[in-house]
Amino acid sequence: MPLDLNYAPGAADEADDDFIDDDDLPGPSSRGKKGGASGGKGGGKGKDPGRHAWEAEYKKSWDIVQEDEKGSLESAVESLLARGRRKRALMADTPLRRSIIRHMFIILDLSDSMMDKDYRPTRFEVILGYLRTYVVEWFDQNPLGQIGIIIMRDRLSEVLVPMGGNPQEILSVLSDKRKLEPSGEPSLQNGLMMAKGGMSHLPTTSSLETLIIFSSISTADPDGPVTIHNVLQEMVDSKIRTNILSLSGEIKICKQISERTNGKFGVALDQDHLKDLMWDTIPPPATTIAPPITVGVRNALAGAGAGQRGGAVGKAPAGDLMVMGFPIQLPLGGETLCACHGLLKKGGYLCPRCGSKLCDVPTDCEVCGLMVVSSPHLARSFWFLFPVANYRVLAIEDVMDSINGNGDTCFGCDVEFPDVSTIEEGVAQVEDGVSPTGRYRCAKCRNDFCADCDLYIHDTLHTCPGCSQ
Amino acid sequence: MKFMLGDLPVLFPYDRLYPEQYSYMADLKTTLDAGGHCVLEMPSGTGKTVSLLSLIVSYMQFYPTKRKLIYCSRTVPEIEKALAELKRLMEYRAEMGANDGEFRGLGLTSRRNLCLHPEVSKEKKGKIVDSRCRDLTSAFACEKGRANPGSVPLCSYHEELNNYEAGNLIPPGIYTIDDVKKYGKEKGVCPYFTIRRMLPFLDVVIYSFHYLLDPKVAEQVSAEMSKESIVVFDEAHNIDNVCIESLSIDLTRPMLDSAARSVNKISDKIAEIKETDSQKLEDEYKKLVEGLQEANEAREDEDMMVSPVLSKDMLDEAVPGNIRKAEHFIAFLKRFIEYLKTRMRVLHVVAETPQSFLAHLKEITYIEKRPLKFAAERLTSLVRTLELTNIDEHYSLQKVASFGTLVATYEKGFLLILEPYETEHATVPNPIFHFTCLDPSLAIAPVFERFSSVVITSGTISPLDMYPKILQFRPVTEQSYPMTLTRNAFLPMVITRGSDQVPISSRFEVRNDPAVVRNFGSILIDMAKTVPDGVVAFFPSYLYMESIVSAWYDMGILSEVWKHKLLFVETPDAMETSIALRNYREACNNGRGAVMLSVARGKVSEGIDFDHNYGRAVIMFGIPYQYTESRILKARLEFLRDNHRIRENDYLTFDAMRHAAQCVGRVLRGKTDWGLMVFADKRFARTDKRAKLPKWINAYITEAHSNLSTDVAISLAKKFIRQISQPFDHTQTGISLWTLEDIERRQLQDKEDAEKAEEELKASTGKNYRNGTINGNGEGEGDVDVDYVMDDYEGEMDDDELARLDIPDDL
Amino acid sequence: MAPPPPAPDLSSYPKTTPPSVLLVIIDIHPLSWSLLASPPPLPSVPDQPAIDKAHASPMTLPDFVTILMVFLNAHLASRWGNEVVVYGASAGRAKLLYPPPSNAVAGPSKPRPNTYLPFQLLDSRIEQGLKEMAAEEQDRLANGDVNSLNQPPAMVSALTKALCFINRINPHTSASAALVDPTAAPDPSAPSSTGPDRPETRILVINATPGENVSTSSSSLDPSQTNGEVDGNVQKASGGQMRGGYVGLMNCVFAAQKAKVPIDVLSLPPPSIDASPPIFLQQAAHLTEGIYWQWNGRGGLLQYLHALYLPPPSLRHHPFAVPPQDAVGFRAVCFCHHKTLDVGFVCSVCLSIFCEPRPVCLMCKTRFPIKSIPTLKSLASYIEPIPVPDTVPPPPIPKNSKSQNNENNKKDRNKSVVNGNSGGGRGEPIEID
Repeated sequence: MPLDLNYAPGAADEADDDFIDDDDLPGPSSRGKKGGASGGKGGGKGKDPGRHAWEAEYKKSWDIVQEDEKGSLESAVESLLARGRRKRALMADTPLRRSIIRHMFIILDLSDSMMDKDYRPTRFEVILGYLRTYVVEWFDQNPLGQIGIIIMRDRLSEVLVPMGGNPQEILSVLSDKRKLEPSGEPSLQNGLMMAKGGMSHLPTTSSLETLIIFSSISTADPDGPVTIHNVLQEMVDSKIRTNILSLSGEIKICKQISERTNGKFGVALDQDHLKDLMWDTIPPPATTIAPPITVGVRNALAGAGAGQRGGAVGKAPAGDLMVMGFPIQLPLGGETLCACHGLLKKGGYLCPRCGSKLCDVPTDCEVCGLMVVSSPHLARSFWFLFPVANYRVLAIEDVMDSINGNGDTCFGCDVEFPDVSTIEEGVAQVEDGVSPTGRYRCAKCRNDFCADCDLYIHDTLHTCPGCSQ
Repeated sequence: MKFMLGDLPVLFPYDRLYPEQYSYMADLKTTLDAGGHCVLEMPSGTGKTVSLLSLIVSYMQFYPTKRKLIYCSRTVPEIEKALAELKRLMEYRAEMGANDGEFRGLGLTSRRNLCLHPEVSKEKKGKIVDSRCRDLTSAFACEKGRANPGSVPLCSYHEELNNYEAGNLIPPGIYTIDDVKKYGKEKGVCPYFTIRRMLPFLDVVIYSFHYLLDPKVAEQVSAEMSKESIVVFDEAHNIDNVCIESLSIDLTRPMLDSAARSVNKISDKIAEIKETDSQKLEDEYKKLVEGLQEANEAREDEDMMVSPVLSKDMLDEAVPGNIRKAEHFIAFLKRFIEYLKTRMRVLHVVAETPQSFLAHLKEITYIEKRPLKFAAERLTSLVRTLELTNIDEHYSLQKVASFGTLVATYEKGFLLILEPYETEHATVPNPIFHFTCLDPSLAIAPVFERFSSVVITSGTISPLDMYPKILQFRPVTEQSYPMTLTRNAFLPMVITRGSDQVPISSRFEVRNDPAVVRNFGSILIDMAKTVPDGVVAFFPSYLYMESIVSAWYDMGILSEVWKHKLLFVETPDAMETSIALRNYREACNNGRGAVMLSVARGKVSEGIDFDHNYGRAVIMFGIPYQYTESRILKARLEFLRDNHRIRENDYLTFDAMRHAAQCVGRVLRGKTDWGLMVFADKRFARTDKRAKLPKWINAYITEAHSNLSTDVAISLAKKFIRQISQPFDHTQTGISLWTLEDIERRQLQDKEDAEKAEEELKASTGKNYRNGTINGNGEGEGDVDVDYVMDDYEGEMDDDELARLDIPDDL
Repeated sequence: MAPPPPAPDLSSYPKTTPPSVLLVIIDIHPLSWSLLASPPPLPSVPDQPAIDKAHASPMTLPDFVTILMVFLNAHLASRWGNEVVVYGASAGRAKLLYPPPSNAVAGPSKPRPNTYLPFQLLDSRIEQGLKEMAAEEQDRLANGDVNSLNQPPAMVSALTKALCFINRINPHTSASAALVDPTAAPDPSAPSSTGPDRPETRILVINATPGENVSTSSSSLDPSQTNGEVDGNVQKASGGQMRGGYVGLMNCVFAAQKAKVPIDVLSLPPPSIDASPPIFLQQAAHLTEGIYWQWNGRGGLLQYLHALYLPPPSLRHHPFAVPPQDAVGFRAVCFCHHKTLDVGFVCSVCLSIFCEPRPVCLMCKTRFPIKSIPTLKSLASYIEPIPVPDTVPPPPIPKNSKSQNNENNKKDRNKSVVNGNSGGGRGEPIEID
C-alpha cells in the first residue's frame, strides 16, 4: 500500500505497480499511470472522466508525497557533511568529565504496533536488528557499563535481561524472536517502575539511564492510586535519565518524562533516522556525577557508593585515583582452576599482582582485591581526551598557493585530489563546511585530506595520520 | 515594545509581535480614524485580544476625546482572559511610564458569578439567585428595611455600597472578576452592584454580548454608554444567532399553565391588597394615566422585569384604559393565556405572520393590538406595586407578557410558528409556540446606530462579506489575516472516500448507508491508531451522532477504537459533558490517549479549547448543515432570500462552514501548537465549500490534499506527525515574529501596502462571493477546476439538496 | 592457481570466498634491519641439543623483500580480484609503496617476456618505492639529523593510512558511512558488511624493530611543535605526544575492529635479538582477531608466510589452521612517562593512566584526595610482576618453539620492569602548570 512505501523514493516505481494491483483496475490503470506520469492533468481526456480523473487525482497526490519525500532526503544528504562537521565542532569542546560507569535499561515496546510495516520488513525486525548492533557498539564505547533489557507488552513489563556487562548474553537473548512476539499494548508506567526497581540498589554516583524505544502511540497503565506521574516523580528523585525514542510522533507524557529526567526525546522520521537517534545515546553522557571512590569495580557497580550519595549530588566532586592492574590473557590452553568460581576453565586472565586466574575482566582480583581491567577497555575512552582538531576547509586560492607544498593525493587514503584548475567552474560553496577543492587540511601536520578521510578520521579513527608520524 | 503607528504611539506588552498582529492593529486604527465599523478575521492563537486591547487603549489614551471601550465576549472564561490581558497591558503601560491615572476596567457578569451573600450565593440556578437578590435589594425592600430595620431582610453587601460616593465605588485600576470579588469581600460591598453602578464611569467594560444586544438587559445596563464608545464583539462568528435569540420567545404548554397559576396568585394578592390598602392601587392607576415614563424610574434593580422590545420601539404614551385597573389587566392576561392554550391544541404545524395572529386573536378574544403592546410594561408596574417577592415563580407569566408585547410591536421580520411535535416522528404532541425573529439586523441595529465604531472580529468569520449583509451595516474595513508560520503547524486534509473508494458524505440520502458509516468508522480507527494523545471528532448533530455511534457499536468499530484510545461522548447535559471532558483531559495527559465524540453546534465546539496534546487531530464527520426541515430555519432562509437576496444554499453552506471552521479551529490555539484537520466528506472538496473556510485554513489545503482516500490521508498524517515532532525552536524572530526593527522596516512602504491590500481584498472577496453563488446553483459551470473532476452527480446532489430547501407554499 | 578448495561441510562457510585485499605494512627501519642482518648467536637450549646446532640465519632486507614478493604474487594469483597494497614504515614516516598513484610513470622499462605482467609491475614498483625511501633516509643522514633515525618506525601512521584506504574502498564498514547514504537501509541481520562481492580486507604488519614499544614512544616530538598545535595548552600538547603512540595505535585497533579488519602481525626479530615481543602489536592482533606470530630466526620465512598469512580471514580456523596464540599481556602505557605498566593508577573521571600517584589528573585536572596518596603508594609498592606460568600448549610447528616462547616471556617480564624504571629517561614527565 502506498503508505508503506513512501519512505524510500527508490521504491517509487514498484510502489506504482502494487498500488495498481491493489485496486484491480486492469484497463484504466495503465492509462491512469500515463495520466499520472504526464502530470496528472489527464482528467479531461479519456471517455470515463470519473474513473480516469480519479486515477489522475490519486496519482497526483501520490506523486506529491514522493516529491517532498525525496526533497527531504536530498536535503538530508546534502546537510550530512555539514552535520558531521557540526557534530564534531561540538565534540571538540566536549567536557572531559563523562560518566564512565553507566547503567542502562533498554525498555522495549513490544506492543502490536511493532508489527507495523512502515519499516521494512517490520518495525519489530528492524529494531531487533538495530538493538543487536547497538548493544555491541554500546559496550565498545562503555566497557565499564552495564545494560539490562525490559520489555513491555500486554500491559505488563518483564525483565528480559537483567543488568549485566556481557553483550553476548544480551545478543543471545535478542536472537530468538519467538520469545519476543509483540502483542497487546505497552504500559509505560510498569516499564518505568520495573526499571527503577532494577536500579534501586545502584549508587547515584554512576549514571543511571533508560532508553525507551516506544513504538505505539499510547500507554495503557494500570489504574489505581499510583499514576504514571508519581512514577515519573520517583524517576526524577532517583536521578534516572530517561531517553525516549518514539517511532510514531510526539507524545505528551513521553516528552514530559524525558524532559523532567533531563534525557532526550526523539521522534524517528524513518528507520535510518531512528538509527541515528539510537546511536546518539551511545557516547557517555557528559556529566559531573562523582565516580565511586573505591578500589573495586564490583563495589563501584554494586552500590558501595551509598556512602557518597550525599557527595555525589554536589557539583563536580573530586575524583579519585583507582589502582588498576592490567592482566595477561591466557590462551585457550589446558583447563586450570579459576580464582573466582573455583572451576576448571580454559583461558582466563592473570592478575598482574598476585597471579591468580580470573574468568573475566573487568573485575576485582579475588585474592588481592586489585581492580583488574584490560587496558583496551580504558583506551576506548581515550579519544575523548585527544580529539582530533577539526580540519580546515581549503578554498581554491589556498590550494593554488600551497599546491606545490603538499602532494596532490590525500594523505590518508592516497586518492588523488581533483585538479584545482578544472574545479574552477565548480561553484565555490565553502559554506556549511564543504570544501570546493575537496581538500581539508590538518592545522598541525599541514597535510591535506579528502572529504571521506576527513569524516572517517574524525568520526571513527580519531587519529590523524599526519600527526602520528 | 513601543512603536509608532502613523502618529499614534502603540504600547505592546510583549517585545515581539506577529506580522498579522501588526497589520491587524494598522487596519483597526484606520477604522477608528474613519469612525466606522469593521469585520476582522484573525486566526485563533495569534494574540487577537492583546493586539485589540493594546491598540485601542493606546488610541483612547493618546487622543483627547474621552472614549470608552466596550469589549463584548461570549463566555465567562473568555471575559476573564480578556481582563487578565488588559491587566497585564496596563501594568506594562505603567512600566513604560504612560500616565493613565484614573483608568478603570471592569468585567460584568451575572449575579450568580459575583454574589457574596452567604445564602444567596449558595444557589445554583441563575434565575433564583437573581430573584432572591432582588428581594433583598429592590427599591421598596430597601426603603422598608431602612425605615424600620429588621422588618425586611436586606443584603448587607448591597447596603454597604451607600457609604461610598457614586462614581468612586472602587479605586482606579483593572479588576478581573476574582479581583472584584476579593475587593468586595474585604470591603464588604456587593461586587455586582459595584460594577453595575460603576459602568458609566469605566474606561473599559468587558461583558457578554447580551448586555448590549438583548433589549431586556441592554436597556438599563448599557443605556448610559457614551456615543463615542468603541464597541468590540470578539468571537463574533455567532453574533447573528445571538441577535435573533434576543428577540425570539418560545412558549410551551407547561409555561402557559404556570403562567395561568401565577395570574391567579396575583389576582389573590390584588384582592388582599384591596383589603389592606387600596390606596396603593389608586396611586398606580394615576401614575399609569400620566404614562409609563415615570413608571420606569429606579429601573436598575428590576433587570428581569423590563420591556423585551428595543428602546426605540417603546411608546411613551398613557397605558390604554382597559388594562389600567389591576383586575382588568389580570382578566386581560387570563384571556390571552386561554387563547394561547387553545392555539396549542392544534395538531398540525402552523406558521403565520404577527398580523394574521393579531387578527385572529382579535376576532376570538377581542384583545386589541394596542393594549397587548403594553402587556410587559403593565405587568412590571403591577409587580412593583404589589411588591411581589421571588419573581422567579412568575417567570413564565413574564414570558407570556413579553410574548404578547413582541407580537404586538413587531410585524416585519418575525414569524409565529406552532410546532405540535418536537420531531417529525414523535407521536406525543408537545406543542411549542415559537415567536421567532428572522432578521438579526433588528437587534443589532441600535448598536450600529448609537456607537461610532463597532469592531466585529473572530478567528473564523469567513466569508467576511456575509456578515455585513445579514447584519445590515457598512464596514469600513473587511480583512482576513493569514497565519505566518515558519513551518506548517497544521495539516488540513479533505477525505472524500474510504480506502475502498466509496465516496463518503453525511448527505441525507447516504448518511446511514452502511458503507459510508463503515468508512467513517475506519477513518476514526486509523486516526486513533496514528495520532498520539487527543483526537476530537465532530458530528453534524446529536441525532446523527447517536445513530452512527450505535451503528459503530454493532459493527465492532468502537471496540477497535477502544484498543488505542478511550472514548468520550458529549451529551446535551452540561454536567455529564464537563465530567467527560475532565477525564478526556486526564487521558490525554497520562498518555493513554482519548477520542472525544462531540457535536458541531454543541458546547464543546464553541467554548472548549483542545490545545496541544488535548487535540492533535480533529475530524469533521460530514458537513454540519443545520437541520433543514426545521420550519424556523426555512422561514429564516426565505426571509434572507427575499430581503437580503442571499440564496438558501449559500447561507446554509456559510453557516455549516463557519461551524466546521469553529470545530477544526479548536485544535490550533497558538503558533507552537500543531494538529491535523480532517474534513471527512466529499462535498468539502468543492470550491464553493472551501471558499467559505477562513483564509488561514483554506490557504493550506493544497490540491493534493483536497481529495484524498483514507489510506493516503493516513500515510500523509503519519509523515506529518513525525516531521512536526522534530525539535524546532519557536523563536521565529524575523519570519513570523517581529522585533521593533522589522516593524520600522515595514513602516516605510506600509501605506501603499495597506492600500494595495485593501484593493486586492475588495477584488478577491467580491470574486469569490460571485463564484460562491455560481456554485450555489448546483450545476457548476462557473467553476472549472476541482468540481469538474468531481463528476456529474455532484450536480444533481445539489439539486435535491435545493429541493429539500424549497419552502412549501402552504405556509 | 585454483581458488581454495571447498570445505567438507558446505553450510559452515561460504562456497566462494570474496576477493581479498591485502594491505602490507613493512617496517623498513634501517637500524632494525642492520640488527636483523647480523644477529647475535642464539642462546643454547640445553634440553634440545638438536636445535643447538642450528645457527641463527641472518636476514637482510633484500632477501626479505624477495620473499615478500613471492608471497604477494602468491596472494595475487590465489584468486581473481585479489589486490595488494604496500606501505613502508620507516623511521618516523610512512609511505604508500604500491599501488603507485596513477599519474606516476607506471610499469617497468620493458616487459619481460616470461613474467606475468602484474607480478612484474608489483615487483618493480615496490622495489622502486623501497629505493626511494632508502634514498630519503640517506638524505636525512646526510642532512645530519641523526636522531630522526632514532625515531621508531611510524607504524601508527601507516596503520591509519591503511585504514583510510580501506574506508575508501568499502565505506560501509565504517560508522560514518551509515551517515553518508541514509537511503541505503543496512540490513540489520548482517551488520558485518562482508557481502559475497565486497572484497574482504586485512592488514599485515611486518615488524622488524625489536623492543616492546615499537610504536608507543613517539615521544621525541619536540614539545614546541606540539604546543604549536591546538590552543597550545600543555594538557592538549601532552595529548599530542601520546597521539602518535599508544593511544593512536589503540584507536587504530578499535577502528579496525569496527571495520572488521583483522590486523595480522609478523614479528621478525628473533628471540635472540628481541627478548620482549611487541606487546601492543600483539594486543592489536589479538583484539582484531588477527594472527600474531614471532619468527624464531631459523629461516623458513616464506613457508611461514604462506602457511599462516595467505588464507583470507574467511577461510581461517578451518579448513586452515591458525597457530595457537600466545598469552597476551594487556598492559598499558602511562600518560606521564610513557612507561609500560602492569599496574597503574587511573583517574576515575577521565580514565587516564599514570605510573605513580599524583595529586591532580594531568588530563582533566581533577583533584585527588591527598590523604589517599600514601595508601595508594603503598599499594603500588609491593607490586612485582609475576612470571607467566607455562600454559601455552605446544604449537604444531616447529616442534621446539614452545620452550622458546616461555623463556621469551620470562625474559620479557624482567626486561619490562627494568625498561619501565629506566624508561623515565626516554619521555620526560610533563609538568602541570
